Amino acid sequence: MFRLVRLHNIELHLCKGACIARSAGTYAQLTAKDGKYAVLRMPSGETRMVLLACRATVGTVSNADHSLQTLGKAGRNRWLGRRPHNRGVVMNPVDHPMGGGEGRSSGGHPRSRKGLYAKGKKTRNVNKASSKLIISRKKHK
Amino acid sequence: MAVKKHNPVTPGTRFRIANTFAELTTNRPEKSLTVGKSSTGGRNSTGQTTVRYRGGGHKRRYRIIDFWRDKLEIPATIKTIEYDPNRTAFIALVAYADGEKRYIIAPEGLKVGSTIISGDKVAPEVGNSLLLRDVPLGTLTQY
Repeated sequence: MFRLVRLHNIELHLCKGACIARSAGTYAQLTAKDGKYAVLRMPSGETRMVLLACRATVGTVSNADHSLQTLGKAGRNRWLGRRPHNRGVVMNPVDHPMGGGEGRSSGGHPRSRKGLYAKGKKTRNVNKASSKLIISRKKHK
Repeated sequence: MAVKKHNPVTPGTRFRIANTFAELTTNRPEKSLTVGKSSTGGRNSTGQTTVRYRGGGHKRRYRIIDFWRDKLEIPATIKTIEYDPNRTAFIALVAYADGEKRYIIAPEGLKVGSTIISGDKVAPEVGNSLLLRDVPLGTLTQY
């Protein structure tokens, strides 16, 4: 059966070293070659052109089961260097737009303390030079 | 199955689903390829907090990983598959035919003793590093 080649450790810029698909279980797929560019489907779902002279390693990254882990207790997060933090939804309305309500009512749309939407809002600069290399944006999970 | 669901022996293991690390072959890193790493606590070079809620944690040593794979046309054998606290993937210690040792990010399925190579016209097999120009558009076997 014909399959697309799975790649990891992909350079985005010439001789800069691998920066794409380095975390556990990730890979990118080479879908086409066009002129001096390769068309890659990135781990995020984005389709992007990368120079054909960039280096990549064949295969997927090890430890694909990493995402299945449950740490089990808060202290294990502390061992990893993550400190506890307060969520906006447990605050009062005076402190956070997501605060308040009776019981565990939802806080509405996720947003920052200043009211800016935290999820779904596009934050990428539209005038970025690399925009012409991106064929389709990442897929939302 | 590389994850194990623990029994509720203590409250901390009640919901724990832990990696068994069955792929790993050693628990000691190659000392010459590690350097000490200081924890940043989420601060950048000017001392300003750039990432909140960071700090503490277990002391780590940085493993020097070869992200360039610029040692061309020299075959290397996999010596060990190791844990790396600095990343989610496992790392592999490879020994080149000329005696040099390097760490690479371990791909899935790579075993101790298998050979990898980096170069221009190498076969598109697991662990081999090649230019995107030389990667075939499709294969008959899954990599």
